[in-house]
Amino acid sequence: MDDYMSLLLLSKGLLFEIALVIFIFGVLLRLFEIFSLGRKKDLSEPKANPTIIGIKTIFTRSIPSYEMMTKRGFLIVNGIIFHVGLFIVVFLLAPHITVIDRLIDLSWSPLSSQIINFATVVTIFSMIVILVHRFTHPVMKALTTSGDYVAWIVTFLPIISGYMAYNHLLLPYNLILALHILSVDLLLIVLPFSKLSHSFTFFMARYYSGTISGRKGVQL
Amino acid sequence: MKTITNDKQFKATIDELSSLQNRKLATLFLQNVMGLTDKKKYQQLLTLASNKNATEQEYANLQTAIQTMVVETNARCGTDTDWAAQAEHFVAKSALSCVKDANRSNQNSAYDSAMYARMACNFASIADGKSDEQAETQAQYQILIQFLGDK
Amino acid sequence: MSNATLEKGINSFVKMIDAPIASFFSSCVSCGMCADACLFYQETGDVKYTPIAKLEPLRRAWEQEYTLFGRLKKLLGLSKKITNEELKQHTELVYNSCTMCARCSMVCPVGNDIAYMIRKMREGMAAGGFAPAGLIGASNRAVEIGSPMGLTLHALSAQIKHAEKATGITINLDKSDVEYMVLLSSMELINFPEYLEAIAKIFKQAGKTWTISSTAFEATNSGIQIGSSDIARILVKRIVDSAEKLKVKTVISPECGHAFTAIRYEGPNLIGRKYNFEVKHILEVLDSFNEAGLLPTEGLEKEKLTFHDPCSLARKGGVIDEPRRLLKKVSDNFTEMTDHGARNWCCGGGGGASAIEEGEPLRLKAFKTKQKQIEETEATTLVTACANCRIVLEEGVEHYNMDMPIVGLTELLAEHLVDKPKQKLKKEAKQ
Ligand code: SF4
Ligand code: SF4
Repeated sequence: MDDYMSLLLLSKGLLFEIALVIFIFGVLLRLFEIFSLGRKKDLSEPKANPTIIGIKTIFTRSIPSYEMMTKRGFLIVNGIIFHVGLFIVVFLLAPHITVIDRLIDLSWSPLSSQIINFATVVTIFSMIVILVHRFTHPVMKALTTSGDYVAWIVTFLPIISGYMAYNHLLLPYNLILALHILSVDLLLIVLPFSKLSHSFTFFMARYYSGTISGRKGVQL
Repeated sequence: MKTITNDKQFKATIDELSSLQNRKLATLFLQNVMGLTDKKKYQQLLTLASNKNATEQEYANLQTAIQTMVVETNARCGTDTDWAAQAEHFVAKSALSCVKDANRSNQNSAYDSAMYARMACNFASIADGKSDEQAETQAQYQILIQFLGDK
Repeated sequence: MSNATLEKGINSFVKMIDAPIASFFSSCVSCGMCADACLFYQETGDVKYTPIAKLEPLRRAWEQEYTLFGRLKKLLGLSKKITNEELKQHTELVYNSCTMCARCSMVCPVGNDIAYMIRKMREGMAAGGFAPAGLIGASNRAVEIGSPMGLTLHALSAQIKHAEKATGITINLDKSDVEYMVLLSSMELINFPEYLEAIAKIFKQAGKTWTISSTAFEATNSGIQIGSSDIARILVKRIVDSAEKLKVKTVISPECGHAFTAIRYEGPNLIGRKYNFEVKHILEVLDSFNEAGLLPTEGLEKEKLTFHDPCSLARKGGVIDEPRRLLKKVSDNFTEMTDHGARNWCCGGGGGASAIEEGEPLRLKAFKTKQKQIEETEATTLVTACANCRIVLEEGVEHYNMDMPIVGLTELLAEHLVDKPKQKLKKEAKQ
């Protein structure tokens, strides 16, 4: 039991701190890599205000088109469920809020543990659906690289271990909690450098895209 | 006898013709520029035109064939233009006017045929420097006058 | 292809990458939804036509040059090199099977503008000598003769003479201090000379002064299609020089969609400064005439009409409402296709694709989506506003045995134009 305790302490102590530093450094580095490339000023006369449409696009692109819903509705709905579920689990679970509070002195009220538990199950399911999709949908199969699997695994591990810890399944609590936190450490380290970087670059992608078509008075 | 010296008169006169007369006249305009292309291509059309008992169905069938000729001779964006071929393209367009459904009213097919024939001449003149659209226009006036006389 | 040219191509990829592109590649989640928006994937079901996959060499150039891990991998010799073979294969993917229609850019959930990247990738492909022969020929002719289709001033003069005779209106070459300088596309002059006649009639009726430049009449920009900014710049510069020499207020782009985006949106960036004149698409000009009461028409079309939006005009140019307002002037029986305006489907021949002969079978296959959309409307006449779309549509319609005439919007309007004295028009407009 004590062995697990020291592992637990390590995972949430030193390792967590290292992971956090790498995470922050990684995100900043990636942002720097992108922004430092710059973008030429567009000299053509805009038909509409590109900046406004760019900002709008950050939000509007979350709404799928009718055509895409008919073609890939299942994947889209599943994707939305996954992202919402993940958000709930990560940010609305009481112990997670405590960690965040300790880090940046910011807190909010958590959701009840039953809801979180349910959200976790749903999120796990949606992730399995995505994985099956990756194996079977011809286009996804062709596009998927090892990087996508890495992204999937490092996202899945914290969720499944968190679920197990919360419900006291299979392994001793301290061990599974330690594994959960270790997997979070891993996630933090990997996130900026993997496909998961989309979590902080998609704002930019959508914004840029919005400005490009917005300049022509088109909002896509 | 009527005189026709400009396009306004030319068009107004054609406007008064029936669609069957339009078709006949269209074919005459076409025949006058046939030198710009391989005549054999339009043999079927000429045979049909000379057959008084030809049915609309026969015309419709021929229309499909000629439409194909038109599309096949289209100049594609970015290709080096062959002006003589482009002249042939417009002869085909002129021919297409000759086989349009006569039951659909106000087709103005003779006028269209004449205009395409002139364009064909114009393209031929870019190619060979000899063909003359102006002469073709005058010839078309004469064809119309004679057509009215024969009517 | 030698290693030197390959090097050139790769260097050009690297040079093309900017912050938007880096953010796009960083954001892709391999969901494959872009494929469902692309006509080439839609009709073939072949995954190689997945839009983002067409960019793989560019992506690797970005990764190897502009990301920490990519660089490390490259240093250790672990990264996959971009090869001649690979780029040769990509010629088909970025040219024949991409019209830069930007439909994929519209659906990507993370917001990647894939067409923007294809445009940039073509710069590297052209620099490395991987552009298709058809486009190389076209851009050489554009630079040397002034037209990608070899239309010389001599040929233009013949066309002008023809239009003058047909309309009885004098068309002035190189007249300075007029309001408009009209650009033409070779496609129009060669396949649809009626366009020029229509312009002459409409401008006469509207009482507007205009001219055509003898040194810059061509608006088609083959440089942009092939992906050579150097060529594109020469072609834009010609137009700008002429317009400024003739001191015109507005330069009018012909119907051709690519010509429009080239001169309107890419042009100033190519020459590195703003223009001293405005650039408008012909439909924008006609719409403004209409608003001012200067485009009186009479009669309505008998046929049921539908409209094919040229991608570069609608999705990439923002000219969407104008054609509809104009169409409704001459038709009370106009129906939209299911996907129209900014969401329209490409005809399959944009972005220079129609100049690639070996791409034809694929083009015809990809046309099927458009075919279905057209047929669903039950329209009997198809209207469009781009000579290139029109030819490609004609070929598609012919291939699939659809009996349907295709007409150009400007010419359609000219057919309905009434000859009215100006005084009377002004009075009517006031009422
Ligand atoms: S721009 Fe159009 S043709 Fe090209 S990949 Fe995207 S959807 Fe396909
Ligand atoms: S739709 Fe966007 S995120 Fe999805 S595979 Fe295509 S480019 Fe990547």
